[in-house]
Amino acid sequence: MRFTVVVSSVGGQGGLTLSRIIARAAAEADYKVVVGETLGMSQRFGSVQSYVRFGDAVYSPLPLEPADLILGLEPLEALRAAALADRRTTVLTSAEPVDTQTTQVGLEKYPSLEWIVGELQRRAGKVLLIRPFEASRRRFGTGIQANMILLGASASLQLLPLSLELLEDAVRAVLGGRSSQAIQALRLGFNGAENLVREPGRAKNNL
Amino acid sequence: MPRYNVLGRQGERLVMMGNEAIARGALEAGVGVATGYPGTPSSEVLEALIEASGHTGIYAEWSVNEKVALETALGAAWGGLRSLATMKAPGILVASDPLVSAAYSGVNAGMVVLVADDPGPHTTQTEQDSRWLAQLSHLPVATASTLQDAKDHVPLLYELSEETGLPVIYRTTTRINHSLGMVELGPLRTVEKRGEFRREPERFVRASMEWNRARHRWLLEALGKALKPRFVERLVGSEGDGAVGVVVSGAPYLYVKELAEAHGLKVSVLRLDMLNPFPEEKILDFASRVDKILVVEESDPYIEERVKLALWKEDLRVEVHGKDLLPLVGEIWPHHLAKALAKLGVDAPSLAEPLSPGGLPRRPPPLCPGCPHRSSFHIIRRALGLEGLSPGRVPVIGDIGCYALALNPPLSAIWTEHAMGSSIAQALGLKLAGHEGPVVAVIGDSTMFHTGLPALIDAYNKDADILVAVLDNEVVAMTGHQPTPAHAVSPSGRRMRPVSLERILEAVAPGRVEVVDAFDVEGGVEAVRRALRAGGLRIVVFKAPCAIVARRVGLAGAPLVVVEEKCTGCMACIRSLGCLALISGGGKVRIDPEQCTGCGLCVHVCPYNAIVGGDGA
Repeated sequence: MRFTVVVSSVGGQGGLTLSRIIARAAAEADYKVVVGETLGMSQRFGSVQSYVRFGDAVYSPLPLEPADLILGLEPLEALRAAALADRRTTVLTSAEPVDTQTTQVGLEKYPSLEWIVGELQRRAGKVLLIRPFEASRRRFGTGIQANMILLGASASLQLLPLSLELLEDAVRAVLGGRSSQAIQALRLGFNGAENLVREPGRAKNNL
Repeated sequence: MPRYNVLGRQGERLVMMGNEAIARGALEAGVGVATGYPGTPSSEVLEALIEASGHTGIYAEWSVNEKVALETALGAAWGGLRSLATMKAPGILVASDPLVSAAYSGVNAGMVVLVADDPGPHTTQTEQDSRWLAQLSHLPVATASTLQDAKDHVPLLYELSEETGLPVIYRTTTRINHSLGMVELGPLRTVEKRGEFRREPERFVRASMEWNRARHRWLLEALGKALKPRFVERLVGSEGDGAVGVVVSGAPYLYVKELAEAHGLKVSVLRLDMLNPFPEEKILDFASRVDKILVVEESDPYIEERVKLALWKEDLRVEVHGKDLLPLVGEIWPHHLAKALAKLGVDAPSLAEPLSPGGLPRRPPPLCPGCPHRSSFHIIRRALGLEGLSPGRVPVIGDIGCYALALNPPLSAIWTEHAMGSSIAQALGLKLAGHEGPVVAVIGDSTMFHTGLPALIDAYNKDADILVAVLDNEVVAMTGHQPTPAHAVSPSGRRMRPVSLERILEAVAPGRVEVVDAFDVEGGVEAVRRALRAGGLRIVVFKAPCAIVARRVGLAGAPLVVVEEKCTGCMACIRSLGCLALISGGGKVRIDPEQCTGCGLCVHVCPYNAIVGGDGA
């Protein structure tokens, strides 16, 4: 077995923390684990991608084959990561767009969510949408736990072959003293996945 | 909670970043002095050692630049302590003058210079291949191809350094430095004194040409000692069995290994982590067992050329491929490798090239919300405008640091960005070429300390007519907030003597330095206008702490709000500042309270006074 998760996010959203937690949980599950990241441009609002790979014969920090799962904390970034998607890929992405510097000032146009979803559906086997920042703000008054809600939901829908217990231990190991709210968020995503996650229709979606 | 995990028990298996593994290797080697200058992808090595320094006997601190870092490490190795200097690729060029001389003098205790190259490149000016320093300096050069070896090679390289008496260059690449994987820890070693520094002028003084020739001979002989089996057997590995031989070095070894194991490829693999001296015997032995060779290496055909030379010297006719089948520019990806192997007749799978959908908007990293540089550039632009100068016609010579991100619209401020400390001398040259009107050189505080000061001295001495804007955010921001020499406490907790940049500037250019608060728009504009009118070399220091640091230590202000009825949706704030805490929607602008630091710059540009403090003031 070889499993590849691509975590795609905007700098500051917690994408790198998310990938490290998955890596830690996979290591606890006795898989070989490797994570490929590029940290240099992970300043706030830059485009950040990391590859978490685990399984039996896994050595390469770069994916050989398309991803099994793309976790997007931002829809445009999920579509950028669809470079690594094919029919076997499931995409679970935030449906909450964040402007880029160029779209904010009007140099480029941020595509409609509908178009992004359609493009994702053309490339991936399954596309699921979630609003993790909204859920985090509603519960915690800040969007900071969106990454944990996304992770919890992905585990609950069995998109990730790692149990909630393993993920909770990994959150504690990676975040230490900052883990208690993160664990609440992870459970919120896990227990609320059915209400939080929607599969958009293929032609038009109603988010 | 520590950021890095380098103090685990012997035998523990941990998911570590390559740079943590290298730092752990230094602790397992008993390194006594570690220095460096921050630079992606190398910075975490020294950061981890600094964090660990309270628990071990190591002295680990940032230096003012790479040359000083290397010289400090060299002095420590002369004094009998194992030492390490860390830097990114351009940094080793800054340090190469003492490095090349150090090869003639040698060391009394092991010394390793870590240089992290950046094929891609992801965050570096060039795809510089630092392996060529082997030819230039005749020093031993090694690399790592796995995360375990990234750690395990470090203690070995200290032994190699002591065996040869030479500093060793440890050249890694981004995909090792910044990947994470499982690493098994070895024992920590205490810091020991391994030699004494004595007066030996023939060895340590490069003023006698006769001595220099003698030391050159000594160096070439010393280098040969690195070919002892205990080094070669660890730094060169052979596995697999097939008619096609893959000679591979660095992270691509991991792609070859997974491709071979997961897809059952029949290839012979030679992992080559020893780059200088070149282990020709291993190459010849390998070549005699295969029909053709594919050399897989990122960046330049360094190994490929040396393999070809080794075969030619022995008149061994084996087909050698490399950069004819693999990219010379950018990173090697597994799909490149699979394709190259298939061309050589290996039953490799066809892997798809990951291609993002076309036409997606780019997401260049902008200046952060609340970044003082945004305000400084706004001030400069406004002052130029008020002096009747078109900002688009006044060259703004940039330097290395976050402020280079003001390259992008809407600020579109920066014209050039080259190398650390380059801006001021480049501006001087531009004036010498007869550029009419003002030239602005923009440089940060740490970059000024690093290599900006000599250029400033020269520009003042030559009476250059340039405006030097020093953007002092009190930290090395871009690489993760490392300290500058102006700090009073180092991240290790050690007390430092803070160096006043302002007093240095005033000493260089007396009476020509003005210091303004970077967020004082009116005061800043007046200072820049005075400087422009006065002519000659003028310095304006824009001071305000980095917004990320300010937020971290609780210095950020309360978020501002937009009064909805007053906002006309003119977008002046967004179009002129591009602050991503400003969000447009429904024909109006609102402010993201989680991003806004209350810097107030947008208040200045709103024509309708629609932006106010969170309390409505």
